[in-house]
Amino acid sequence: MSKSKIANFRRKGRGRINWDVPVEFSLDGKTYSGYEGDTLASALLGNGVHLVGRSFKYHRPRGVVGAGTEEPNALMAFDRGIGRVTPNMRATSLEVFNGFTANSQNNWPNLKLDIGSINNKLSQFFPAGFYNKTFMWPKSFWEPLYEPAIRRMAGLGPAPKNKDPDHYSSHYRHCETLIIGAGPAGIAAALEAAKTGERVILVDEQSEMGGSLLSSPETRINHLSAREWVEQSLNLLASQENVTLMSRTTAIGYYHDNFIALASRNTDHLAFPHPEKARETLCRVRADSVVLATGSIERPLVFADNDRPGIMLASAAQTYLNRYGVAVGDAIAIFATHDSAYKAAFDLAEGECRIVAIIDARETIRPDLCDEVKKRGIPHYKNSVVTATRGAYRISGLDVNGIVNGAVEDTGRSVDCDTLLMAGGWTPSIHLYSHSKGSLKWRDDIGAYVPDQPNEACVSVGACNGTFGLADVLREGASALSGEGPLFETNQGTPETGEVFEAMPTYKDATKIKAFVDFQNDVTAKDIHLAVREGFKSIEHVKRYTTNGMATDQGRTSNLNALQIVARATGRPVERVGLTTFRPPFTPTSFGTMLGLQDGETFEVTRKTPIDGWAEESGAVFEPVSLWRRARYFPRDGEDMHRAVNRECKSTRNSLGIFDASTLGKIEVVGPDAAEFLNRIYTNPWSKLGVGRCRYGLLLGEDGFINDDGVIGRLADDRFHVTTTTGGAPRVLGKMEDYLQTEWPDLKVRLTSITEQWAVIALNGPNARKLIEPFVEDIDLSPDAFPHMAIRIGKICGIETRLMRVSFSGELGFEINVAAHYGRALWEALFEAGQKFDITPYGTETMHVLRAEKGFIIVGQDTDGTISPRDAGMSWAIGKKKKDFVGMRSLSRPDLIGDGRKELVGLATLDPDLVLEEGAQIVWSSTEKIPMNMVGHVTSSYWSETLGRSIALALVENGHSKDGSSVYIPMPDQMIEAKICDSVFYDKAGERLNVV
Amino acid sequence: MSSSLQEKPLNIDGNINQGVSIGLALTSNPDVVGVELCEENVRFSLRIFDGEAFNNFGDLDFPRNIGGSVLTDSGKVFCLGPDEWMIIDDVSKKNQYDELIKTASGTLSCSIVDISHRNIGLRVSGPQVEAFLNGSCPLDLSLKSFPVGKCTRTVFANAEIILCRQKEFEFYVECWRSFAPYIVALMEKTIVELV
Repeated sequence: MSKSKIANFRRKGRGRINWDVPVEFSLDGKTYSGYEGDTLASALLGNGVHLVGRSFKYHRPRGVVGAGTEEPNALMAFDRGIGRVTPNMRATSLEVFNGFTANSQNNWPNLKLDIGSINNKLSQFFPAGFYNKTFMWPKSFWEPLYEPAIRRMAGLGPAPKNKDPDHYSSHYRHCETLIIGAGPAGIAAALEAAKTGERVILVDEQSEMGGSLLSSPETRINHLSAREWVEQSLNLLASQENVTLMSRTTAIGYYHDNFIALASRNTDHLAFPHPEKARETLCRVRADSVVLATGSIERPLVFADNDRPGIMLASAAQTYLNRYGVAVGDAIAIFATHDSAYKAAFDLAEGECRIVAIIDARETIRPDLCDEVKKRGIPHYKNSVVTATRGAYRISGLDVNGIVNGAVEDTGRSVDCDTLLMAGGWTPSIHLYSHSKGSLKWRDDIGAYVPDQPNEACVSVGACNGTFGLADVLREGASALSGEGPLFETNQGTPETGEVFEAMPTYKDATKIKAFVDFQNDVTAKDIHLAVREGFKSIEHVKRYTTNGMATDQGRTSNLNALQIVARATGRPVERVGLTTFRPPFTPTSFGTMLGLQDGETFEVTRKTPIDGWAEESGAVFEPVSLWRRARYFPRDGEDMHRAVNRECKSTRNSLGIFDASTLGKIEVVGPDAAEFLNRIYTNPWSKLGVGRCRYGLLLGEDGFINDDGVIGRLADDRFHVTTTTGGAPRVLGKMEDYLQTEWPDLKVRLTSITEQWAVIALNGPNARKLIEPFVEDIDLSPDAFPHMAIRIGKICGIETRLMRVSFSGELGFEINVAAHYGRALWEALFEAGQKFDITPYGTETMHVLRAEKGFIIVGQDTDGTISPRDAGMSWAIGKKKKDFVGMRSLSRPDLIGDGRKELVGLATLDPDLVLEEGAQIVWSSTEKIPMNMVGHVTSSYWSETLGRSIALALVENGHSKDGSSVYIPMPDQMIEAKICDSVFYDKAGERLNVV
Repeated sequence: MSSSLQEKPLNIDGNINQGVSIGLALTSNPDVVGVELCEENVRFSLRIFDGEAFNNFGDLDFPRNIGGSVLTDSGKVFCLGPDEWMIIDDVSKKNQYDELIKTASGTLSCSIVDISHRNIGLRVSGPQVEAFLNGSCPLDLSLKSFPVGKCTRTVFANAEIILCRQKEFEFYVECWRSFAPYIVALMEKTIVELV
């Protein structure tokens, strides 16, 4: 591109870019120059470049259509380095700087020579619903063939492959008034709101506030030029402490109770962003009232080949000229159904652009506009339409045909041009208003939906409310809050009006032309007619069948044209056809923004016990258990898990193991009705449990199925120390609170989580008592004085303890509760003193093996929410004399006591070295024909070093009555045989609990 | 009573550093906020069945409105719910409280539970303290909506906290100990944004 050519498209002195600071940027590896303040789109147009992409389906060459977020075509992969490639960015919103790099999308090998464009030639084979119709059969082709091919073809930008190295942030804000959109209505509203002294936030998605006023320098407001008025107003607002101005900030979602999500782009426009600061920020605002001043979007016209590069919206051309000093073409034609086309034409003419034709489809046009056209010597084609366009990578000409008696003449005249502007009227931006579930009403005069009854405390003002004259817009904005704002004087005369054409009439066969409705998804008027013919009547169905209104622009430019085509084709009023649902986000939003601060280590809480640090220093391998991370095993000298667990198990059974049980859920239940409360919650009886004694508690759901379990100790008549599973702790407390507050508010009992108050060290093994004896004060540890399932309060190493004698391993066991901050110090003291017993720290894996050897269940592993106490062989845990407890009535339901229940049993494989796979299915016969009748599954399976063989627990149909029967576990490579056996594999008499 | 004392009991130093025990590293910026881990406290969750129960606590002053607090030099009492109070005081008063609790428990008119080690407290103060906490806390923290003395149970991103405004530019944040590193990590990220 030669320098002189650049000068041709630039209009120095116009626009708001910094003419003194030229910048160089690159697109598809080619370097271009622009100016500071340019968007990528304006800079490219300044270089005379209109071709910016290929269309989605037919790979047709496409150019810039708009100047804002409505842009359907100019989608770019913005490249800021490794891990920093963002696809589908609109060139109209990207700001260029020195070194800016982007790539066009959806073309291969390059923009001009795109192999996918063969689809354009084959387009008769790509009707609406093409994918739905074609890739149905044969089914086996889908995965290897169809899906990869469609994915490759349906390129809307490359998916990022590397981790995003950028920072993102998020925060909350509150204000009395949130104003979305800083055009004339929004600024006028902000000026009034600011006077109240209450908190006001004014946001705008563009780099500069002012909206349409920035594109109309000739406009005057109260004797100031539009730009002066904007500048003065913004300065006034900025000087007020109660006002926050946020540009480059998009309101992406409007949720309940005036909760609005704002996405701010902080650094994408900077060549050298601060390395520590967030690239984007999610600001969640709660506002007392919301003023929606989101403006409107100009509507394109639907006619044959309306998608060539160089065909764009008239308002966009005005914006490029007046904000960026760019003339979009040398020979500009305008196709209009709305008065706004004329303002654009005169504006462009003032900007030294040659207007070669105004083609207006309307029969009657305002005489003053016609006079002005005539005065300027612009060829004016009234009551005429464009029926064809020409040009490969840029429009080079068009055909104009007159309309006579409602019919388009088949002979017309050819007009040469390099740009065609469309002025089809204006569509109010009601997206956010719709997020808030406000109702809409149809206005025939503007052919658009406008807000009717809001559902939230919000007011729509200006163009988004269907109000278009500038003086009215300003007054409506200023009146948004008080209802009585000041009057404004402007130099804008008669309000502009237009006529609505859902598709432009033509003399051609409508089935043979491509008149695009949705540029981004390549949906033509013909496709929509086809969908209607095929029976799709609802606009929601038409949208899904044709893809009209989908993808990044969400139908900003296409929705209403599509709607009216369907209405006309089905002979119904538009209101009956409906409107597709607008959903957040308003514009594509990065995952980084949605995460905000909650990325990496702050993505989710990782809870660590007081002893976690010791485990980490000792080389433990961890596993997540709900939000906790727990030591799984402690490998020594390069052991794998299997060998480490074998050693830990053996050591514990032979001498002494030490285990961090701090994550166990703990609830202190206190009050005169504490025992009664536990009676109602747990299956077991609690009234007669003596102070200082413990009992295993089983918790059911209303359905009678096992929910949770744990040991409960009685500290006093009115005080219990309840333990729950690690993962079940919050759920159990929530459930208890629920019953207490809603079912039994009369009970004098309260629940306090003490999970984190106590660090818990579990000591298991024959030497457990010997280890702690020297350190314990105020508790008689002798077996008679402190039997199994007892709890005492005393001191250990001088620290207050709740000492429990319990065992989840079958060995002599103690659980030492000490206040959390002392947990690690006690652990270290015991570990040191335990060296003479070869004390072995063990993790959750060994804990699982030890308990499985004893047939103790783990709720959630050996139960799955469909297992009753009877199924689990735990009927003993049910208080036989109890009148009621949660789940009791369900236990007598016929299906819970009938034949065929899956029951918990032990499994011993015939080959003792074979360890079954947890989750493996079980069948009765090895010779059964596939599909076999599955009668159960393996729930727990381990190698037991103690027993020298594998062990497993399983749920098997009628398992309790099948002791000794063979079952089969079909695996991909073999059929494994096992025998049903007692689920207690080790020390059936329980003698090891009582080792002295 | 403990049996064979073959060895000298090994006593653990009572003044354990809770910050080290939790693994917290705090950073501050004078232009934004300072975040400090509060000295170790005794803490109790008090649930009252019967208004008489207050008489068991000597001259301890209880706030009576939900969200109210009584802040003194050494301690604080928060009213968190219709029958729920939290008492936080200097660790040196542990014995005094133990005695109070024994008496109060005997009356069966309340539930009082020691949660001294369950929670930790953070003192957050500085010129941007509202915006700083709003990094992860969704409440309106303006002086008008959240005046000095107000306290409430709320969230800090995914963690539950108790928040109390102690002075115009100083808040007290209390959380369960295992949530503290997560909260502090979020706070550090927020400081970077506000500098």
